[in-house]
Amino acid sequence: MAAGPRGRFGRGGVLARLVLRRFLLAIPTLFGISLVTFALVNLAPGETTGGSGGAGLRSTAVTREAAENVRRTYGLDLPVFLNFDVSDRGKRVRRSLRDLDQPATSALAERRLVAATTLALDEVVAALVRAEPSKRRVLRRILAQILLVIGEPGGRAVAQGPVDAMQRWWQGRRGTFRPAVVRAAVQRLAAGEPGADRAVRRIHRRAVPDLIARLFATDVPGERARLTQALSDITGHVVLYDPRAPRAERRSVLGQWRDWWRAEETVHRDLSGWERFLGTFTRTRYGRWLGRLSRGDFGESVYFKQRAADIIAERLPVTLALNLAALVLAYLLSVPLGVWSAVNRGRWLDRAVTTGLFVLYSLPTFWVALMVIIFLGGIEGPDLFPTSGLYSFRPQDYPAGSSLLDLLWHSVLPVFCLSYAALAVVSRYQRAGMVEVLDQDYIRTARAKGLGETRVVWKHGLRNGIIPLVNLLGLQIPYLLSGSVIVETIFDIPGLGSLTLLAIQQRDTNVLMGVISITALVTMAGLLLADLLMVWADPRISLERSSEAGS
Amino acid sequence: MSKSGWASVFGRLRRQRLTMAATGLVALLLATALGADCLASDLPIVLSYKGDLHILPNLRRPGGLRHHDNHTLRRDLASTGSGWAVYPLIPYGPNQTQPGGALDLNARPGSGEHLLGTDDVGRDVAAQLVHGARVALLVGFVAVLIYVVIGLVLGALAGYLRGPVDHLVSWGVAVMLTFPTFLLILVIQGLVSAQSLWGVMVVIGLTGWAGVSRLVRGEVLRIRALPYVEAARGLGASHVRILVHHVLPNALGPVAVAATFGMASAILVETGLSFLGFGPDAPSWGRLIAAAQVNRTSWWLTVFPGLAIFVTVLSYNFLAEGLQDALDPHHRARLPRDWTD
Repeated sequence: MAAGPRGRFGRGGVLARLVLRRFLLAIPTLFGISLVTFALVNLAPGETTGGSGGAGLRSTAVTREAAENVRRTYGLDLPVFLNFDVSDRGKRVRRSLRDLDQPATSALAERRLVAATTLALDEVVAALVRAEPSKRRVLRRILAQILLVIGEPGGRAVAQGPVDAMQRWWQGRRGTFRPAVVRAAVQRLAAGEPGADRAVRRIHRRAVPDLIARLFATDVPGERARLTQALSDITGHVVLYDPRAPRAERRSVLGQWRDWWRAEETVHRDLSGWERFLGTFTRTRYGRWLGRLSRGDFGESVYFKQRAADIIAERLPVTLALNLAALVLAYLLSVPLGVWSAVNRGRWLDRAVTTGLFVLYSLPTFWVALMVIIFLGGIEGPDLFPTSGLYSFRPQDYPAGSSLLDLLWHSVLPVFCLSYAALAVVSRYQRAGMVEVLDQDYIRTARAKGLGETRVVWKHGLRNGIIPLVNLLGLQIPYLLSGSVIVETIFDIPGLGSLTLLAIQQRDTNVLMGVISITALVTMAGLLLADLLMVWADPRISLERSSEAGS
Repeated sequence: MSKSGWASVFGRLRRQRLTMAATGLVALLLATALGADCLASDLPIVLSYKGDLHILPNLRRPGGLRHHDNHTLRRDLASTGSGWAVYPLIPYGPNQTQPGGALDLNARPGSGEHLLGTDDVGRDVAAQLVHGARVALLVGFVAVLIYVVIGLVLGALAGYLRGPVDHLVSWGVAVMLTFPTFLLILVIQGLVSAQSLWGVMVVIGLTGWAGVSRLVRGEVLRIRALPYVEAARGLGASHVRILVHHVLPNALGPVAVAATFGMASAILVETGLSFLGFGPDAPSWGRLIAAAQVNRTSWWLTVFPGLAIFVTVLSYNFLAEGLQDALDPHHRARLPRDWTD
């Protein structure tokens, strides 16, 4: 294009397009991250064997039903990527009715239909009416059990009476399942009106979608308590909301119901055609995982009895702060060191420093951490620094202002252990970058026009010599996060790294998946940031791009 | 010759000296690893006992000596007065907890009996160090071999074929590089609990290919545009022939450097895993240091294995740097490009 290297947009426009481009390039990377973490989820042994001992039990209808529930909770009943058979309430009930005719599956189907209670009522009555008299026995038995569960007055007589009486009963009764009636009953129950729980019990599982909707819509603690009570009574999934419990626990209860509903929604509802179409993609194992990932919802931590995301959110700042401190320290020391080395390159002192840094780079982190604890933490030498945790006392026990000092005191050794390897790498990069720059013509020009050496090196030289370090900034992050596992474990710091180890020891898959996803996202964000800084720091990049785009 | 010229020659020599020293150390470690059973074992190397001559019973483990070790044999030989034995330098096995039937459940510092001390179940530290060399070198070699092969194939295909293949591979590399490698390995270990040595090597191998792949892709992209490759194409060479005979051999230099650096990192990963308790079920240096965590006052369990790891990693790193200098003297100050892996 004739517009020349700066193009139609000028440098500002080119920059904006570059930034946009970098952001767009992050999308496929995010997709890849979700695929890798999804593969990891499917590695998790606790989920593939179906929880606690489901596989080892005798395969009766009861244990098969339990195993099925576990599989549904983890979405293992769903296809991996595409679901061409999206089931909803009606479809499941009709399938169970068909299974009733097969001797191999009839026991399980009967249990399923009884468990479905009012969800199956319409189809069961219709099937009873249609069926030949000889096949009605099992259906009558199912109906009787359902009516018993929901506490229907005279239910036994209905189930055993003549078919036309049953039909008449159903004509009168079906009105209680109309959406407006159900909603009103749920509202009365939430408000705590006497007798409302009986009405809701008669609607039973048909009321679950409204109960759930109301549970997430309201923020009145008493309503939440009554709604979870009703849901637990109806579904047998007992998770109760206690208004006096700590906040984390209350959040956890709501989260558990959300998880439950995600797995059970299609059991309790009929889907529209559009929902069925979308379900081809969303009602799959990968679709579920992507959904959870995008909401930052990693489910419940088995060990902490809290939302995994909450625990991670609590611990991530600790790790980030320590790593940031280590990074700043490493850069503050290594930039002057690298420049000094480059200026004095070839002298024995430079060689000694360069070799020494290389030696530093080869030291294993956990060993260094243990050595500083042994020789600086008071085991075989002076007791200079604390070696465990971030604080000596509880926060309220500090005299004013001293807690920050104590925190700094506690972070000396961990930050040192995190930063020394970065220090070695960054200063080597800085030296290499400076060596290259100091050989450039423009530096000779600067010297020739009489500028002082300090100005030449630290102003003109450093300006370009520091550019590679910007890029390095992004690359440090995964390395630091990896180091955090070891450093935090050894120094007993409540960060993401020690959490990882704890989660592995406790087989807390949800926390592990959260940690690995979050660290990948943090790394990606860091790389993106370094990339953008690079574009800003090095005008050559945007010029290259614009001439590329213009040609 | 000018002063700075001499200085640079001196410097280069010095560097070579370091590289040579590193090579010597790696060779020594290799010898230690190969001969670990003859350096440290609970049975003698040659033994004449009750009229039978046993050659290398430490390797063959004859059934007749099942209830013996160096100490019971030494006692027997001294009391009967007949027979003789050649004992290994360190007369303990790496997993031997009761030399001569005595069980000691306290970690002991170095003494005349155990030069470098014992761990918390009475195993000799020196013997474990010698056998740990085997684990460390094996892990470094096999894990790196796995990911170099994967990286080489993917990188070569991406760089040579370009187009969609390149996009796909580059995407995979970008994704893999967003995962902190050690953390990823740790999580995988936690999920599948691959406690076998081979399991650990495979996990390290499968997570480390991205750096090599990126490196090879870049080299292949650069080389395939050179005139001599064009000449080969003009002479009618097939794609496979061009790639395998003309392009890849010239791309191997940087790969060798990356692989040598990689062996050092793989050893660090393995020892780190063992230290955290998720390493292979083998006498590893990391496992020794983990044992020191029970009681941090037993410093000899931290210092000696740590030194072994450090010296090994340092040797590999110096070797890699020497290799890099030899291959690319203009960029001698440059770093392991993929040091993050």
